[in-house]
Amino acid sequence: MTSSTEVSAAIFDEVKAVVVVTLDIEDQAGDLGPETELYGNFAELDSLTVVKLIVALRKRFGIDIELREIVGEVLYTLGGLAAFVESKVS
Amino acid sequence: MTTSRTRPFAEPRVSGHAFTPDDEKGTSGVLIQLPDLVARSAQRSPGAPALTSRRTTITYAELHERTELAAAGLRDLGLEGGERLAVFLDKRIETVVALLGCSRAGGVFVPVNPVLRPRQVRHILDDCAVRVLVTSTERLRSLRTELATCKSLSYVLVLGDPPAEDQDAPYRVLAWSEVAERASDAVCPPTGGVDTDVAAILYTSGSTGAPKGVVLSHRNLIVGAESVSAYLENTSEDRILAVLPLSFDAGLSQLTTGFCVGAHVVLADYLLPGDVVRLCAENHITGMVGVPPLWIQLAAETWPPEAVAGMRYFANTGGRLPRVTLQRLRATFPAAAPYLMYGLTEAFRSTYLDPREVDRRPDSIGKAIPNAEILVAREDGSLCGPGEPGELVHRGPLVALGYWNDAERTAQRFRPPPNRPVGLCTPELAVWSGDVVVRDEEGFLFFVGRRDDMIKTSGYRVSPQEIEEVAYETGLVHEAVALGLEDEALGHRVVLVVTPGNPAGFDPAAVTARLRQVLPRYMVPAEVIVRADMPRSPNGKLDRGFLRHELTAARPLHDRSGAAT
Repeated sequence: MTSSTEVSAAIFDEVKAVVVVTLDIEDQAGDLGPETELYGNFAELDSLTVVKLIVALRKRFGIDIELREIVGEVLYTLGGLAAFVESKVS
Repeated sequence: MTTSRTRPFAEPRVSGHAFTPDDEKGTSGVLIQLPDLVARSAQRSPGAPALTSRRTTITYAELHERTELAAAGLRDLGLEGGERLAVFLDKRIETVVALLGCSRAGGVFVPVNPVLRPRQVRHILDDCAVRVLVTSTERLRSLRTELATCKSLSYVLVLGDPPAEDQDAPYRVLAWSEVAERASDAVCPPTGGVDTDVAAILYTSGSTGAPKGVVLSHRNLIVGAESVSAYLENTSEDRILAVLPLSFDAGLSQLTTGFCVGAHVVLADYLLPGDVVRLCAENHITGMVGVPPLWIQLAAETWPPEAVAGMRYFANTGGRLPRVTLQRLRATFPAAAPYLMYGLTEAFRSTYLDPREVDRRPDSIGKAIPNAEILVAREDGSLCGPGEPGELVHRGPLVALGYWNDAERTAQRFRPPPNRPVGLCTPELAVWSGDVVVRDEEGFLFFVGRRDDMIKTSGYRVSPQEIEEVAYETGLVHEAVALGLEDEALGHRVVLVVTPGNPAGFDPAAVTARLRQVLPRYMVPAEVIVRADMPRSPNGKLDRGFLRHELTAARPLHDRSGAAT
């Protein structure tokens, strides 16, 4: 997997913005960094919101993401998710 | 982890009272505290894998060591015997170490379901006066407002870097690693406790009223571990996938039944059913326990051969598995034994069906698990005969110590068993489950329904499960819940709530038409309500109470509470 530090800042910020809005955690936006753990760490992220998140990322970046691709490590950290999105964009 | 210790079991530095040295624990064969299960397995096979979380695996020796270190750290922090420590985390190695370390230090652990919202967490912390909370930095951030006025809390221990000190907070925030992972010679002295001491409080997700804290002793947990691992035939060769929340009796049992025999427990949180399939394949899982909504999802997944190959058993608890789902799972895992189980938190675990009986009695919850006695009682307290429905009563060493700080509800559920010999002068408490069951001539038990969920319509008593089973058999619905709603003419009006199997072109009338062919008229739902998804309890079970509440919400509150008897 791509290391989260290699993700461009622009993509990271946009992914973060989508995550924050979809999970309704605007109040925590300032504290989120690439190493912030998502999966298992935010009660807001569940089987329903993950679908919303995928839909929102598809729309925002015009990319094709299958539900099946979002397993395990992709959602471990915010940086990891951004790296995944970046790999889809390029 | 680093440690400067050359011996795994150093002399305790606290002196002044006699105790058995720690390294004899396990060899004596007496299991007193929950962590003794781990100590014994560490003694027998220190290098065997105990626990995996994501990419990390630790051995039994390491788990034992980390438990001892955490216990010593918690004692140094000032956690007194019997004080409560809550853990609000997803499933990680630290989560398990926190539970075990608290226990080893003589504290009472309270696993909090990681999906709960801050207000519900606060309720639990207040209800049992939690002194130490273990959580993550992000979770603490979301809890901060609620915790600001939490009186009992002295410490919050966080994984990762503690956030900047909050001057107004009435508790101190420390890094978990500073407290529980210091390499030192400090060892937690034995607590001198007995196995009937309080070990844990599990909050049940009651759909009516606030959650209740079920108080479990070390004995409850140890007997449960031995009993369940015996009938599941767990061995040190097993690799158990722990998918259920650890705040749930069956969830905690995933750990204890593994540790009891030195099996390898793989911790799993999942967002999508595909995650579970992947974890089974990656870890060559041999056994797992699930609840019906999860099994319904998993039955619809594609299982690659490597995820199926090692599977020795699959077990269901927390509600009846629809027959079509059971059939699909048996086809998916042809070599695995299906275990149908029943348990209530108040008695940890209660019954299971011998897998060899599943073909003959796919609807049965089986018989009592080892070291439990299950009685079926009439309302007047006398025993029911075969074929006669009555309340399931569980007696034996699995019976919990009641509800925390709730004498009234404890007195309702925890009462003397019906068959207590008159000559015995001490009281015994059994759990009166509130579940209606019937026993057949051969002693097999069948779940009829929650006493509160039973539908009384046109003078008949109808089990919601009976209607739901037929709804599943139509193949048109994904999930189904039958409810009896108050009705002046009928007593109850039958309402079936479904999620469509195929949302496009779903016609509720088609379901009714099929039900009409199979069910007597009084059981046919007056109404079929279609929902996109079903409400779930935090433990992943279908939430009947929520649906009932939603469907009757138009009526005034005092009216509803009076109808729930």
